[in-house]
Amino acid sequence: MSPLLREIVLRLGAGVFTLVAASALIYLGVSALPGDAATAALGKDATPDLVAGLRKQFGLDRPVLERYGGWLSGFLRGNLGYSLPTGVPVTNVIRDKVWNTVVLAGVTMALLVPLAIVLGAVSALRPDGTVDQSTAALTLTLIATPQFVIGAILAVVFAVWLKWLPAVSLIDPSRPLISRPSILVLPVLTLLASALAQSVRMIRATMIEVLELPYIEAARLNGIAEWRLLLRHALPNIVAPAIQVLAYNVPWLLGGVVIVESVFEYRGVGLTLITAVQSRDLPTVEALAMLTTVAIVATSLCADMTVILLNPRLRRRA
Amino acid sequence: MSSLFALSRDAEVARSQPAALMLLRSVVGTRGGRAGALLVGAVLALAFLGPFLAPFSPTAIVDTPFAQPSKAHALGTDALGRDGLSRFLCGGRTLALTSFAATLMAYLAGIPLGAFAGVRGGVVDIGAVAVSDLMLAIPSLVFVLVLLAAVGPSLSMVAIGIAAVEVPRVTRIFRAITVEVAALEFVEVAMARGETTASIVVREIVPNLWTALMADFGFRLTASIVLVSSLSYLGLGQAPPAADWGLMVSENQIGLTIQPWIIVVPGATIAVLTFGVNLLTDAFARRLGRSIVSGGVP
Amino acid sequence: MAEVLDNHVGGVGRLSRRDLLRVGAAVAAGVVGTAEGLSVPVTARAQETPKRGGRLRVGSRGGGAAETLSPMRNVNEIDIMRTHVLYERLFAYDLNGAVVNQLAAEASSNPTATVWRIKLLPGVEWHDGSRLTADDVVYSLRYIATKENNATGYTELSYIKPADIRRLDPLTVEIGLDQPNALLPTSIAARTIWMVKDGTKSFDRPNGTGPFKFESFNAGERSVFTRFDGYRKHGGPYLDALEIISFSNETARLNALQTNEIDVMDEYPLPLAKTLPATGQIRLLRAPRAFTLTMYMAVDLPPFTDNRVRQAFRLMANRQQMVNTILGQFGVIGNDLFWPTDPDYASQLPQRAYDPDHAKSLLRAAGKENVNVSIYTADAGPGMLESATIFAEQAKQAGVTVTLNKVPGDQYYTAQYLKVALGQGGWSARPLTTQFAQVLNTTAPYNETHWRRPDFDNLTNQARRTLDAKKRRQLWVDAQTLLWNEGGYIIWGFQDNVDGYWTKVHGLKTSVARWLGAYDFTDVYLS
Repeated sequence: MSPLLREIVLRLGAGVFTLVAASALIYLGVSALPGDAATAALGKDATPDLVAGLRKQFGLDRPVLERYGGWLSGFLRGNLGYSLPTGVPVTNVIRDKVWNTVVLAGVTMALLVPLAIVLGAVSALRPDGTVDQSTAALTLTLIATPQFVIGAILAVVFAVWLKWLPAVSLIDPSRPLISRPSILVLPVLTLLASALAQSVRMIRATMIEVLELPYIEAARLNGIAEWRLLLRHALPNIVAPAIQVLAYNVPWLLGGVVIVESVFEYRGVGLTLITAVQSRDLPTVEALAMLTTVAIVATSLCADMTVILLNPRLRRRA
Repeated sequence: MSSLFALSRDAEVARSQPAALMLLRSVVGTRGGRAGALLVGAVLALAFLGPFLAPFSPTAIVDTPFAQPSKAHALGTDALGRDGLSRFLCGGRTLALTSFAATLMAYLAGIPLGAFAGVRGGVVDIGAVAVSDLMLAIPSLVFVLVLLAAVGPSLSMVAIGIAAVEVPRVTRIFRAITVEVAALEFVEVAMARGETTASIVVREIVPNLWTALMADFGFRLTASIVLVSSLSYLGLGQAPPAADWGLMVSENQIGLTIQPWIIVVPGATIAVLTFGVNLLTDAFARRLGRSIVSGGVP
Repeated sequence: MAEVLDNHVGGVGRLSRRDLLRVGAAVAAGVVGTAEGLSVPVTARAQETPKRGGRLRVGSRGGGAAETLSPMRNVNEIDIMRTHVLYERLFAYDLNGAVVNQLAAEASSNPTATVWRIKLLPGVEWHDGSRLTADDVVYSLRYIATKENNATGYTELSYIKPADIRRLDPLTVEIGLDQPNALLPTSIAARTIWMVKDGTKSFDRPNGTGPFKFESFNAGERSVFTRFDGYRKHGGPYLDALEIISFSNETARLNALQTNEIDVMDEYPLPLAKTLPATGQIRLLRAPRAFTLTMYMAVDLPPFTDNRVRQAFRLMANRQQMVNTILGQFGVIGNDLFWPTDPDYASQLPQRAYDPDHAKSLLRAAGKENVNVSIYTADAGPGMLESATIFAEQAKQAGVTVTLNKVPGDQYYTAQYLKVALGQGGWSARPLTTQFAQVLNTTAPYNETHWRRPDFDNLTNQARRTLDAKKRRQLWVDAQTLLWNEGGYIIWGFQDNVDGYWTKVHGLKTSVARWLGAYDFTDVYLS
């Protein structure tokens, strides 16, 4: 097997292992906690008899490993469980909403990548220059502000005062999401506000390191202009770390999506997760947590693969 | 990562507090550090002393809902006609306490775990790293949400959950530091002397961790504050009718266009707190020679 | 304006037209059915010619995944809205709450009110094009009257044997009763007795006689309906389509109205109503004293098994403060009894005062001083969460601790709604007989207070059988006196139905029976 192939297989294996371990963590971890689906369903008026009866009904009296196995194998076959109060299959509940969240996260990432690279690169080129200082000040502010605060303020400014954009992002299932780009603007802006802050700082730092590499120094001494330096010599070196930095941000981004969907009533899986948590619908919560992890591991794997394929010499992570 | 430990490495001399104190003093000497300290101090004072200054009980009905700010009610009233100023003054204490508690718990668990893994190496080390990486694959908020779904909304669970998601990050950092410090001579000497791992950790490693701790603390605390307030906003932290900054934003959001102050003031205060913490953290980082972000640490 | 029930009774025991109106009216005295906007009064029927076309978007509180299209099992208000749009009943309430004909052309009974005949309107079409016949009515009534079907309307018809519902001819139905019932039309006017097509087993593809036909439904999200061109009334509907959108968050719903993502919303938040500019694009509709948000105590669950505790809780509610804070100018205080505007309301009973000290002593006598209870609540109705929060605060004056057991708004009416010791419910105006049948008789489907009293049942059943209006009123008053002295309700106030709409929407109505003119969009058009 070629070294490249072996590397890929190793990464894939690690990814699968992570997923299985995460599933165990989620399912068994929840089982270890004092509450379970039965007490959650009965709430404050749970008597021991009622709880016992309901546990039997939900199959919670079987050994935990058996239940875990059943849940995991069901998950792999596409059965995500049944929502608690209503018994509706989770797949039905989230079917239309997964795409909405994918679009939201996708659009954000699509804007995040170029913006972060440009801002990070320019800041790095002139450390402590105007761009750098102002970006740093802005990012420092935004990274601090919780997303629900940013979201609420944006909603008031753009939707209620200026009336440029809708305050809630109601998705009409009968029309494609792309046909109404205006409902994406505020959620994406809110997500970008905080995600940019993180990413710009990381790219800037990486860029500074790259710019200090010996051969860049040499090129500079040879009289090559800064901009050309940046574009033809520095940027190619930053692609790989940049991909990794951005992939690193994905877990954080997905967490942000949950809040943002709640603020704007954007019908995606984040909002479903919150409602499920508030009504203590454990099967839905576990399924969505697992899905999120799958998305993250998949993205991370893709990022790793891209990096490997781009530069076979980058076998080991920094 | 290496420059993070510049101080601890160079100072066999600097084996404990003196190095940390020096760092602290130099940070406060910077503009950013001073500003950060001031902001954080102000907000914390507000959070802890506020309840004593509140003119009304935070749950008493004093006027009609969404009344405008006036002499009697500096922040107007909220959705139920309760005094906005009183609720604001009483709304920070739990947030501050829960965030600090979560961060503290994260360190109490993470530092020993990381140090232990770093000194021991081998299987223990690999295991610790593996579990940390695993936890990092699940978004912090989602993880805590799962816990809360199982146990029900509860403040203690929020703190525990947040601590749980911060532990892997803390473990990674302190494991890395430990590995570096452990390579230093005085530790090798101690190991050669046959001292137990625990004793090595406590007597040789930990005293050198203060500077790293101070630099990292800001990140953990900011993350905790944002998580606690976000969970409050979602109604999963303190239950009504408690006064809570995050909860105040969601409770009164419906009257945003009429009485924005009751939302803007608590929200902005949370932001000021995290901003101040970030300023301090940045000041620490600069003092340590380089931005901590370079290694992808947060 | 109200169409009157014709009465062909001859001889002894004749029910006068006035009697029928009186026993049927839920909220009659002095209430005007037309919209009382806060700004420019809007009349129910617009002056200009209505334009055909357009799509109306209505935003309402969602019921989550538990939403249903079934007219037989609806609890959430949004489901009730959908049913009103798709289906019709034999009798309904007019805008003042009086019982009027809808699909029934006339109703008459024999002198002892043990046999009723209902003649149907001719030429009424179902959405699928077929004609309404007596078979459909017989099927619908039998379906509801059959206990196993678990229809929410069962209690209204529980005293009727399904076999005694007969078809006489294609347009006449006969109902035989074991006991006399002078109020049968009122019973059947309840919002739970809907007419479905003969043989309907599944309600997933609704087929009704209402002004709009079914197009699509996504539980917890939105439903779409299109104009039914074969609707029996001339004129409307004018809209091409009607969209009902579910919201799980009240802020989002209000924002959606403000930015015109929706055109109409029911249950406009009252604290914000006073700040709406009088000449803005958004106006308000208002139907006075149309709704009450109650707190209920289950009389068979601790600590409320002791009547002294129940009385104490009723005494420690500061009703005026609740009305001032939550309702503002849009409501009045209540006396723990339903429907002050009903002619048979026991107005002679004194208004219960606010007396926390007396409450304290009662609790002490019952050995429940400083008792600790939790109240089941949610943001599932206008003022629900607010009233629970305020009540908890007021309880402190009597040494009582009330904690809030809050669930998400669209989950409220599922899990524990009828199982808790202290909870909340919301009721739109309806005749006393219907109200009691739905919440207070032993077989009531929504027996929130778990009130199971044979003496009470006797009084109410007798009232329903009594043909003499004066005697009947006395029986109702006796029943209410029992409730006032020993019941489990804390009815602290009555509020107006307030809806918000954009000025381009014309033809909306107001009604005390339900919001948005009891969800009547027949005459609505957009400019």
